[in-house]
Amino acid sequence: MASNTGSPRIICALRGATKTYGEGATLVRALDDVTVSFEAGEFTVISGPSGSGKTTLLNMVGLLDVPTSGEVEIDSQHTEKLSSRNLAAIRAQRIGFIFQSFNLVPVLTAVENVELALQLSDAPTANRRKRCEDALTAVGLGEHFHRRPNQLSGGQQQRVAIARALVKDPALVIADEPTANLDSVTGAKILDLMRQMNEERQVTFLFSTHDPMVMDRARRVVHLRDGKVVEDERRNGDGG
Amino acid sequence: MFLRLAFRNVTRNWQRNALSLVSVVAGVAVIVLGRGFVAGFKENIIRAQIDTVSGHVVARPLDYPVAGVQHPVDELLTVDADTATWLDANTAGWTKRLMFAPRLVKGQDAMRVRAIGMDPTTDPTVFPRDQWTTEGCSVDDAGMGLIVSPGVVRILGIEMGDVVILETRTASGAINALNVPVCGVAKTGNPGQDRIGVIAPPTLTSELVRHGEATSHVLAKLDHRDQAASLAAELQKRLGEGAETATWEEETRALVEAQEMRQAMLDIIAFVLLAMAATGIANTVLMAAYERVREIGTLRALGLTRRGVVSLFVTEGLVMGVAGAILGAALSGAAMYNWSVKGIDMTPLIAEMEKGGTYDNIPVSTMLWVEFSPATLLGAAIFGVAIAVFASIYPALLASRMPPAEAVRA
Repeated sequence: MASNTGSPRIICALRGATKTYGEGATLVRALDDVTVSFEAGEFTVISGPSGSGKTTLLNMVGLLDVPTSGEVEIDSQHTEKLSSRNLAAIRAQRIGFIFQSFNLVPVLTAVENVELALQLSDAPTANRRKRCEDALTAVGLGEHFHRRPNQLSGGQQQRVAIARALVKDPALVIADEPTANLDSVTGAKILDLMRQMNEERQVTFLFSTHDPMVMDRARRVVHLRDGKVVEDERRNGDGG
Repeated sequence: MFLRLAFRNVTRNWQRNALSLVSVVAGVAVIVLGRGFVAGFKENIIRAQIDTVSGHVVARPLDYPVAGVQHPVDELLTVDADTATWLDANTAGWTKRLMFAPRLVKGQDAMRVRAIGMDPTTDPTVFPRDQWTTEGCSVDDAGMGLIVSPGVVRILGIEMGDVVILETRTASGAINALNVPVCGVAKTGNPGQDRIGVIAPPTLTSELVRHGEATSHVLAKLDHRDQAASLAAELQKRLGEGAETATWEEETRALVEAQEMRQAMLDIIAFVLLAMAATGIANTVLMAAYERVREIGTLRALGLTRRGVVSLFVTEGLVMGVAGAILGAALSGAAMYNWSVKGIDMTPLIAEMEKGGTYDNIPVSTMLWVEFSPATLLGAAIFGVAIAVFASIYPALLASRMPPAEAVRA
């Protein structure tokens, strides 16, 4: 763990990260020598037009993909040489994911979906169910523990996904277009909830989005174009 | 959680999975039923052979023909008083049978029949008559009358009281013929005998064959059939080089081997069924994997390792396999247990066999007790589960190789 006294703790850092697809004339640079770091407690949006490399960057940060060259550090731990198994262990324990399509396991109830994340992170079994119920209660789903995803609205499903991402106390939560499948009112509530969690728990949130509502709430916006960071903007993030 | 997840995923697409399940049920059931029936048939044939043809030990003249309706009487055995006493002391019962093959003539029609000259007093000590059905006289009170089989009645159109001619060679090689009244019809449970056989009481046999005290067969029954080999060896010594002895095991070897061939064929059928089940399960798991790409991606994002994905899908195959194996073993096991206790009435099948004549020399009891074997049941169930697990490995590996970054947004 990094703990530079006086300076904020770096949760995640990319150094010269490049990701290419194809070769020769068809070579595409999805990320091109990107160096960027994210500190503890950030509420940051990765912004840019389609094809700018937002998703690729999130994949690198979330350890779902590895760069062709360059470095990715999570909590000061270099990840380039880690095995698939070790990368999975870091994802399980330190990174939470929230997806555009909620991505809940359809055959599990809300509380079981949340519990799955704890189980995969090897959290102690004692109080595991209680922690899941608390997480669901915190996102306003105290009455819906035993409903399956198809018995929940889109907003409720995204709340379950937030509870699932946060229940293991991750260092970093990656939210890929989390409001894209929600109406504006529900989307705003979900964003407020995530902002609240960010402030209460100092969890780092990293968003990829086109949604102005998300941009308004961000305290930092990293603009990407053609796989490069073209602007890194700090804001007060009080919009909404 | 994995087991719960696997179980729910299996029940989620229960209609599709039911088809794979049925294949496993069928495969397991064919193993259990096939093995139980073949084992039952084997035992049935052995018991019928012992109870209607050979007893536990049989002695006959050396090089005596064992196939077809050939029963020479020129070289016969003689049991001396010592051997008789020894047999009395060392067997549960023993008897002599004179087998001969006379021509039976009725009017213009004639046929070669298999005649058993039997001693009504000692014969039942070796050959129980509980499966006999008789009409008219019995062998005990036939005197000079002839007891014919239902097959002979049918072929020659014989009626009770008809007088027929029995024409045969005597022990000394002369031709002899007698007019004999038909006094009874007996069905013994031995298809060959019941098709072309007749039973001659001692007086009639003696008058026809003129064999004196000699006989073609000495047959013994023991308290335990596994003692047969030692008794056969001792009897061989006592009867000398002109005789050959055989145990029930040697007498049924060819039939038992035929049953074992049948067993192998049934095993192949079961294997083919389970291979079909394996294909079905592989297909089901593969479809599940392709339908659930996003779910796989999500689980990988949550920290499930590739091995974990393999375990998840193999567990789904396991759930299907276990469900199919339990169902298959339960259904077939219940049927086999029932048939092993109550038995199956083989009378209609034996009637068909008698008509066809194909199984002339295969004795079969009218009741078949199939073998209920918990070991077979367990083995078949384990085999069914193993096939299901094996079938799900390949699609599980495919699922585990999906790149999580792509899968999660599929």
